[in-house]
Amino acid sequence: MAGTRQDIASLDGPWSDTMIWYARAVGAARSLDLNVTTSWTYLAAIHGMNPQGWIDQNIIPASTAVPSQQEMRLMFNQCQHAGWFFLPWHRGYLAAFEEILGAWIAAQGGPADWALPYWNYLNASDPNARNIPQEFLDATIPGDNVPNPLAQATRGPLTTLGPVPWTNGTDISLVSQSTNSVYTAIPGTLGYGGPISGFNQSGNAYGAIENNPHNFVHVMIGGDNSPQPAGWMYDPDFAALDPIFWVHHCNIDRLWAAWMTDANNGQEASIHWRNGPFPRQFTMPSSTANLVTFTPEDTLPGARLAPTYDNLSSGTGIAPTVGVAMATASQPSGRASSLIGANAAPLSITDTEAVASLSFSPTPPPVALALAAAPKERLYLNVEGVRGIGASGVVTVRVSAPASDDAFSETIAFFGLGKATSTEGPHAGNGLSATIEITDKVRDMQGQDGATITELEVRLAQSGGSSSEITVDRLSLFSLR
Amino acid sequence: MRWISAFLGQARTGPTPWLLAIAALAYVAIALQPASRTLGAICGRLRVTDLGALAELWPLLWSPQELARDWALMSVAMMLPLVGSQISFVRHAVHRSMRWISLIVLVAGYLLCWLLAGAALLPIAIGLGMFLPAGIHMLVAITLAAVWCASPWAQYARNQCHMTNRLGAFGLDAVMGATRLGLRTGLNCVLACWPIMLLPLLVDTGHLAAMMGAGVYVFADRVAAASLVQWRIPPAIETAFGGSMIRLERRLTR
Repeated sequence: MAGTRQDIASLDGPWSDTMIWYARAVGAARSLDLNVTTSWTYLAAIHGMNPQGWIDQNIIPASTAVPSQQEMRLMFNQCQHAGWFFLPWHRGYLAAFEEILGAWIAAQGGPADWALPYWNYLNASDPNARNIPQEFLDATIPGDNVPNPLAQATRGPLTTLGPVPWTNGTDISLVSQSTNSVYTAIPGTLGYGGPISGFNQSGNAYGAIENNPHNFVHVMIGGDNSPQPAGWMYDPDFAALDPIFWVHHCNIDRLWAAWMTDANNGQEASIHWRNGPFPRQFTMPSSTANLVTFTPEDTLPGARLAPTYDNLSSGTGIAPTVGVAMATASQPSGRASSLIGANAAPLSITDTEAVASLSFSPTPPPVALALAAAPKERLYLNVEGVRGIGASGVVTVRVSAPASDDAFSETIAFFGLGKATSTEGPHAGNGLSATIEITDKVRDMQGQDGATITELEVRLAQSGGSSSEITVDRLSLFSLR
Repeated sequence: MRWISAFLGQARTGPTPWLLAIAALAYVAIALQPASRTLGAICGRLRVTDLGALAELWPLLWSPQELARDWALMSVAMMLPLVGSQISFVRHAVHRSMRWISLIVLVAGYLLCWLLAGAALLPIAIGLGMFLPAGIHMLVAITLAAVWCASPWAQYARNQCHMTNRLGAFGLDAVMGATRLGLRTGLNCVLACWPIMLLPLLVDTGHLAAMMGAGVYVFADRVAAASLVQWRIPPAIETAFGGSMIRLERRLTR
């Protein structure tokens, strides 16, 4: 049984006992072949795998023994992104990883209650919180005098999380913790955990927590290594090979755990969500080489895969109001979304921005009137069917109105863009989508100018100098009443 | 049990219950026909060596309206439940003023592909039945279906069935997009499933049961996600036995 997961910064570090054993366990897992269910490469391939890419980067030899084709289809490339199961799948994944490493550590005489630590990078009270923990940078494990497996990863140049050119200067934040009280996104709108989906490795639209901070941390650490390939964290097929992936996801998991303790938030609890997708289900290896299936229900507070954290308030943006590890209310109902506007043609973003006009349906009335008539109405801009050849992509969306001098912009990190574009992958090449809530900003526009907004102009741009094309099927506007 | 619950939970959302209900009505309509006049009875009983049956059934082959009607019922019963995800996509992607017309053209385009496919598949079924010895023709058809369903070409077509395209939100743009999606999905559905459709046509008894079995098979094939284009165990088999197969294989090889 795993112990309590703790903040790396709160441990007696650098190189606390917890981190030394983490490094040793990673090293041991790395010595095993891909066809061993407890090997580093097998565990990483569960998230995502690009066989030729792994060979090209000398992660595995071309002649390596691999599991059967059926086992690879069942076990590899499971990671759930841009869909309903992003949070519970990664929780089950972390639990399996922790159990396997913990069993090895206990067998070597290490702590029997070893637990995966988390990187609390949004802890505003710690000035060093955003620095990549020293244990992931040092060349050797102190005392052991062996190469440090935690540092053996391809990463971008960044050592402190923050705005960088390849994220168009966007920073990570806890905004999603406080502005999204509903787990499931109604179609065309934004929810904390994502829209309803099936088994989706690169699904239809991100939940709020997934876009920021999750995607941005991946893209920041993976970084822009041009002309070399981007770092592993930039690509879902490589990300879990980097030991820092696990402490990043441990923190994302903690953010979810904290979010559930706020009585104002509504965790999805329908039987459809609790039972998980069909036909492919979530399956993980165990330290005894069994393959174990789990469902999202198993990850809810009090269930067998629910973790224990030392702190759910530090760096989470949440002051727990219903006690630690409590499931919250079921979904609020009675609200419905409707499509009220869209642009006319697909868009292409290269090193120059793409410009589109978003016109509204004559019914219901234009945005300004609708907002005035229904104060509770919320508006969402959707960037749909985003495709590109890069493993990930970052797009800044700038919105203005002809009748107003004001404009606002948001940046979206499309983690896993290339995978969602591949027509041979489980996503069938449908691309990714992202949703931005724009209600207050549009209200500000019309409030300041007293104008009736009947059209929005949207400009899409990639980070400076990027010439790798990103295409967008459609921009659309949804209202939620 | 959770696996079944997951299926039921997923099936409850979206249009699947409605599509299954319409498919059930089509099955009932087929069941209400005289057994001797179903497509299966015609195709399965025709033999060049059985002049009596040939003489009895030959006139039916020259009744295109009846053949087309039966083929349409078969297509609705077996293939309509497979288009649920595309219906959900269109439903959310077009403005509500265009929703019904877009859904109608989507389904019409999809079924049109299957109707046209009948013009090729029925002669193949009749030819197999007429010129191959009894029993052998079924063996040939099953082998053909097994090889095709495991092939990369079928997987490519299945992947395409999961693909969506840009839809306009309003007006003609929405209708054209939905039509294109229906036609493309239908064409790829035919490419993915055509040998499975032959099987119920070749049984001279139990046509309805064979249809339902084949219908369940193609449904299980379609709910599986898109995948790498390569030779593989057909997705329907993995849908039904995937996890168990791997566990058994691991136990045997350990």
